[in-house]
Amino acid sequence: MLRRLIVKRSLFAIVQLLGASIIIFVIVRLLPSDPATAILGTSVQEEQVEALRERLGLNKSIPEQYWIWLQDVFHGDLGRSWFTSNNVVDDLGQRLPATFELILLALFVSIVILIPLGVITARRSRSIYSKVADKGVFSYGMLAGATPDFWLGLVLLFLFWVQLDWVPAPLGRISISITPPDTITGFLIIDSTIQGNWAALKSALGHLVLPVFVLAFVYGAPLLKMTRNTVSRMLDAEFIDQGRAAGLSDRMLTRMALKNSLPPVITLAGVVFGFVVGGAVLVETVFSWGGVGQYAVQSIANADFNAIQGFVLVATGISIFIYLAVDILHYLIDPRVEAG
Amino acid sequence: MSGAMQSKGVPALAIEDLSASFFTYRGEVVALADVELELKQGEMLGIVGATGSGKSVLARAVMNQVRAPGRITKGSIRLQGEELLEFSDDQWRETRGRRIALISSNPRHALDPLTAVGVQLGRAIRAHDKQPDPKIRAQVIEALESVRIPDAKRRHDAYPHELSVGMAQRVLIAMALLHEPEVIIADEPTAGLDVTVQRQVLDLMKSLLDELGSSKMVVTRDLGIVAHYCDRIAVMKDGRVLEETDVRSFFSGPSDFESQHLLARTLTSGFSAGAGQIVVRDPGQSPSDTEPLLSVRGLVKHFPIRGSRLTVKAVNGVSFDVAPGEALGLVGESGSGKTTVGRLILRLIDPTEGRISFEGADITTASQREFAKVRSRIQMVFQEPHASLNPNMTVGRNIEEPLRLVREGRLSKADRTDRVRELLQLVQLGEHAESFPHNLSAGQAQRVGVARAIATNPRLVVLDEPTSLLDISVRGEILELLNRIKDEIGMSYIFISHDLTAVRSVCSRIAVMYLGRIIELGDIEELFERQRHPYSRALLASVLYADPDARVPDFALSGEIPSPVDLPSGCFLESRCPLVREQCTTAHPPLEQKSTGLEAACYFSDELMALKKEEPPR
Repeated sequence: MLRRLIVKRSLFAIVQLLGASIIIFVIVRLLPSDPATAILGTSVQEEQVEALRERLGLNKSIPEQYWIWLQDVFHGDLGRSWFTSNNVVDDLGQRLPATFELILLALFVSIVILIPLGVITARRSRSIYSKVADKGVFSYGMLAGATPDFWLGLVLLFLFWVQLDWVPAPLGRISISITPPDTITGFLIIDSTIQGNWAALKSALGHLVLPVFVLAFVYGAPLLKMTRNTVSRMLDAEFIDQGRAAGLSDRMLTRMALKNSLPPVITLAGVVFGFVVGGAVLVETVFSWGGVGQYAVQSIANADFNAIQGFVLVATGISIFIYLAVDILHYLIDPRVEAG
Repeated sequence: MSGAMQSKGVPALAIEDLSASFFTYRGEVVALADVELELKQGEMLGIVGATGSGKSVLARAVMNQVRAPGRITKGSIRLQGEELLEFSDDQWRETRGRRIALISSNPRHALDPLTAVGVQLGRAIRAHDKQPDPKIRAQVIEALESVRIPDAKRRHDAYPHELSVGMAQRVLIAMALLHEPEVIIADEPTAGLDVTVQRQVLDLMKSLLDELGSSKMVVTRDLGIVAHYCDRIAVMKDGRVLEETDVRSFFSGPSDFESQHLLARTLTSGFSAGAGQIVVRDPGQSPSDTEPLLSVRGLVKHFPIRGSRLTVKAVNGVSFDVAPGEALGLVGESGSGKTTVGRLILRLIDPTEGRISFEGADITTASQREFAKVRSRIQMVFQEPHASLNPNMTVGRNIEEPLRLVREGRLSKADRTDRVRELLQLVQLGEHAESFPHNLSAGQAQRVGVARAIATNPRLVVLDEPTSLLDISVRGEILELLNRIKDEIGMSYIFISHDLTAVRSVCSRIAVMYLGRIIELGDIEELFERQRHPYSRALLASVLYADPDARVPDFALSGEIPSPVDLPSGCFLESRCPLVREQCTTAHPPLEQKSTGLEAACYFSDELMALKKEEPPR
């Protein structure tokens, strides 16, 4: 049944990707910018611009351009970036691990810290401790919701880099004076651990700590609130009462409540993750991270059509994959979810 | 035999001076006030009372599980002489499930939806008795078998949503019995079950608990359950115990005024009225040669299931007439299709097949526009009193609404106001015209629903379970009102209900439905006396009369209602009927005249009649 779910959803994912590719292709071409002018600048002659347009295929009809591009995509070719003059596939391949390392770690940190915190604060009692936790979660939710991520990044940099000098300069993922590990997974902390390059690991972690904290702090708040609310509602459910009446321990009852709370929490985690893939761009910029978010903004500013299309296509693919993963988890947790 | 081993003198549970309150933003709300109660060794004590009387809080208080913001404020609860309220959390955990166990209502919600029922039972075993997994599995299967769950090995791995409500309730009973507790608290143990299943479950619960010698406290609104199963009864009101007495003397004449009131209400309303205590009722016009007001022929409704080729076969060929001024009861358990028939008649949904004519005109395919002209003459009263009123309108405005929507001959504003006043007087809510629905009790709100339904002087009113969500004492009021309106105004009713006695107090004819078919149709008294269909017999046998001496016919169906998605090929009752023969498996029997005034769909109704004579008096 699980296989049926995966096959069915994967087929559907192809349709979704095709649809998304058409939309993005057309929208990019509706932009009021002209790539030929963007590449050559304004000080060249009209004929040269026209020649470049012809060469780039920009004078063909949009369906025709789309068809050519689509065929290339099926050959694993997203076209050449006019700005970096690399193939978009290589550009993304270089930058995706940076972004992934950052946001996966941020997600991991929020799950490991905030979900247990949500469960603990959900267990209401009349104690002072419970009231303090209650107010704490509420205040944190408000604060995180109102704090721009880049601003928090700047403040923390000012404090920990400028004033205290506890963290390295926000210039990429690893200090230039350190020999980076050979690329295996593209994740610096994994690669350097495998190769025993402890200096690189230390430097990578130092660079990661602030941006990970910023992302986890700002984007983890909804996770904490969702966990807390759902678990606290579940702890009021009749089956918890029945379990307590059967003599089950608080530990077991909490476990049951958490399991029943997981579906909405997982859904939300998926949504947040999908959002942060592109939404972390400001944090990437503050820390000069060199991830895909920065790349995307750069390519929009430069009317770099192939790069924009490539990024959106990949981002869409990631989102679809995340939602598939969310659905699979739902299916595994909740026996009421049908595979069809 | 844990209960029996205790010393004779000490009650199993002694509650003294017990008070509990809810501490809300508006201040303290007292839920239990100085409750004194004794549960004797091995007895079954029924706790009855209306909604809000505190009976459920009492059940929770005994488990020390009063929900926040409520808590016990004072008093004492002694289990076999041992004070429970001085217990630490750990002592409570050891006591719950092992010495006192709970069977809650609403079995679907009382089980963890994400965990197989066998695993849940296993957890409940492990809570008091650490054992290796295979041994626990064997014990769980044994427990499932003890509550007669068929195919227990496979059901071990079933999830709650895969079980019927009846099965889920059995799982809860099994869970409560795992550690052979001294005291069992059952909170409305059969509230969500169909009547034919209710009997099975209660019989099973009682016999298993008697075997263990446990003492039983049953919280219920149903005096029939008390009369039939309990040794003693305690009546609660406003958090107090008004009367605590043995069942026999209660039913022969309770000493307390409130209790008398409760019992009187129950009996005079025809609700759970014992044999021989039948309410005098106007038989209504006979449906003989007058042209029918409503005529339904071969009605079929199948609901497609989304994302599959299967359909839910809710109604499978229903035909009946309603004469002017006649009240027809449409009776059946949940899933019988009775509510769907009501909605089809009101054209709230479209039939798959069949014909409906009203006042001689075919309304089956009438467009919503055309039907709007007829609508003022067919009205409906809904099950949920508050949900069916517009909360933003005053009571008066709610009643006026249908008058404003009349297409032809609409009354003037002044006339409408007069009419609303008249209707409010009729339902005895004269002073409530300017109130809003949320200020009304459920019974009052339902009376508004009735007033609204009859505002346009309809010729037919479809009543969809109008009393099933009301307290016993209020049900009587509504039934009296319906009877009065019928007699004074002479409109026709289709009374949809699962409650035979309620139907009997209002209707003169009855149609019994099972799986979307009418299996018996005719005169209601004849049906009560000499029913010709085994299902009707079982339905009647499952009614628990509020009279401990009532003779209860012992005729039970096995199993539960088959799925309406996958109907049996022969008689729909074939898998459950004790009279089943080979002929029953081939084709569904047609509805045939069996006696004056009764039609039934059964090949062997004569055998059923013969069976009745041999039946031993209970």
